[in-house]
Amino acid sequence: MKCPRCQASVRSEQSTCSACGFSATLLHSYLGNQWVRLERITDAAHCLRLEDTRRLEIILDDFERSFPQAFFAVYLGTLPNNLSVAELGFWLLNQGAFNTHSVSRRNDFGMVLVVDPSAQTACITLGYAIEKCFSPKIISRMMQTAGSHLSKGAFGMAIEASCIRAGEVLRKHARPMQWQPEAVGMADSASDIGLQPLRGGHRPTSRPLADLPAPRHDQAIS
Amino acid sequence: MATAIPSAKNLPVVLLLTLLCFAGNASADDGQPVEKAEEHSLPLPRWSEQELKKFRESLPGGNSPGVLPPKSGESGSDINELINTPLSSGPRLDHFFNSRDSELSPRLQAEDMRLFLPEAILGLPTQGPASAVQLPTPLASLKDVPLEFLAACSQSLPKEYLIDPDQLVPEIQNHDMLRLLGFHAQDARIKLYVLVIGHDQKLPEGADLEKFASGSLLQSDACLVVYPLGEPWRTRLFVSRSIHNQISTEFLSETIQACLKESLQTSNVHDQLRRYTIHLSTRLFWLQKALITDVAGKTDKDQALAEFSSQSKVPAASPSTQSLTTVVIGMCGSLLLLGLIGIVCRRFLHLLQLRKQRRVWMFAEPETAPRLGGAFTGGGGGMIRYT
Repeated sequence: MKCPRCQASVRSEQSTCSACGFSATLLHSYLGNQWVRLERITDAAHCLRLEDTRRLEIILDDFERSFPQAFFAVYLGTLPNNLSVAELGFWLLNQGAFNTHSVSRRNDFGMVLVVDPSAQTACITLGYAIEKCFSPKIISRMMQTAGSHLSKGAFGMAIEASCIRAGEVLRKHARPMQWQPEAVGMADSASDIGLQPLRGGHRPTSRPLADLPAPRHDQAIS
Repeated sequence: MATAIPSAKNLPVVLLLTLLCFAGNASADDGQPVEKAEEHSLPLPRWSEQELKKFRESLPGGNSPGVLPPKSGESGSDINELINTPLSSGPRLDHFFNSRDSELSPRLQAEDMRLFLPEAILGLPTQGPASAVQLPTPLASLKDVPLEFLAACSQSLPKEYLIDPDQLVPEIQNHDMLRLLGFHAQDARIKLYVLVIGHDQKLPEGADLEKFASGSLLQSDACLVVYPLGEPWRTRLFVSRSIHNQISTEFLSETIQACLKESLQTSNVHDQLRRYTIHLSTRLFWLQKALITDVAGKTDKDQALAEFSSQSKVPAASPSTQSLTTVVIGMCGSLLLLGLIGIVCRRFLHLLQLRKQRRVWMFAEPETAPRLGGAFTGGGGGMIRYT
């Protein structure tokens, strides 16, 4: 493992980087420590065409269907000079509430691809649960493949290749089984059968993440 | 003169002479029938009633009718009367010859008469429904004709168009067939030979048919019919190859079926043979008119016999046609097989895809210590700078 800021090696149970003193607390002082909700594909730099976005949605759906515990998220945006793509990926995976099919997916099974088209840098950040599936060699090859597409301006192709390759690697470390629909016992609320309320305060217990601040569009509606 | 001028002196003499003349004429008229009756009655023997009675009693079958006049009081059984009366109503002619010691000729037997007289006259049962319901001989029961039979066929004369070494055809029918085939051979270019075999016989494989009839089958266009007596449906038809190559399969098939249908109009096995031959003869005349009359330049190979049987539907097809048909059938079969395999494979792949779509991969729950203060990630991954 490497420090997101200085790329120095980090051992387990090390709270700060021994080389540069980086830790999550430093990012909290800069980006905040609250949860942020974001979509699986966040194109702040407007790099993706609508066609690419639709196609990537399908690919990400397949990924999440194949791996019910994991997710793949993408962020494309121009970052300030004092923030690198690795640092943003680190912060997003620790503080982000990704709008996946199942919000209950834990972030330690997630992976985030952050691309800064201005700085021409890209980074893949892995959660604790799946980081052992990716060796440095695999990570290096994935990034080279993505970099070849990104250098051509093919952002969609870079994201698609990274997602598909990640799925191939994860299948080697996971246990296959047939999908079975989840059985629902006694339904106490509409959320138990997949129905979400419009207003966050209407049924507090039905909120997906009760301890998270209400999403911005929910506030606008209420 | 004496009577012209009778004188009184000679009158008694004249009267006497006149009386004598009348008496002579009268005696001459009365004596002629007597002489004729004597001439008619003289050659025939005459028996008295006692002699006839004694002769009848000496016969071994006293009750059997004979040629002798019946006793007084019996019904008339004179042979002239029997001949003039209908046979169905009175006693049959064979009744006179059913005993070995017949009165007409001690050596004349009833079996001898049957050779010349129709069976209906002799009162013998004709072949009726019993032969009609005769079951076909199973193929397993068929036996090859012996070698002696084939040798006899080979030694038959060239103009012996009915080849019947086993004499299966009776004499009368045999003569009829010979006359029919002889007339056919006089007028037709395609000679018709009929080989009669038993109902449970068949020609052996590889029998040299060209040697039949002393090799006359190769001398001209010929048609050989191998006819199992009583089973016309097993008839095999051989024609010269030069003819075989010119005629269509439809004509041959239709000829076989028509002849068979014609022969089955009757249940008499000999009548079946006659009908079959007559119809085939007619068909051969039709064929002769339709064929190209190119007789010159024919070789023995052209005259070799080629078989056409009713079982084979397309035997006359040329090898190229057969190969083309085989290729077409093979291609259609291959395409059909490929289509079926494609459908099965597509179905199989669809099932695999469905199964694959329903397959999910689950991870084990790891126990990792947090790094760099991160709750879910601790710097795992990689970064690249692309240009």
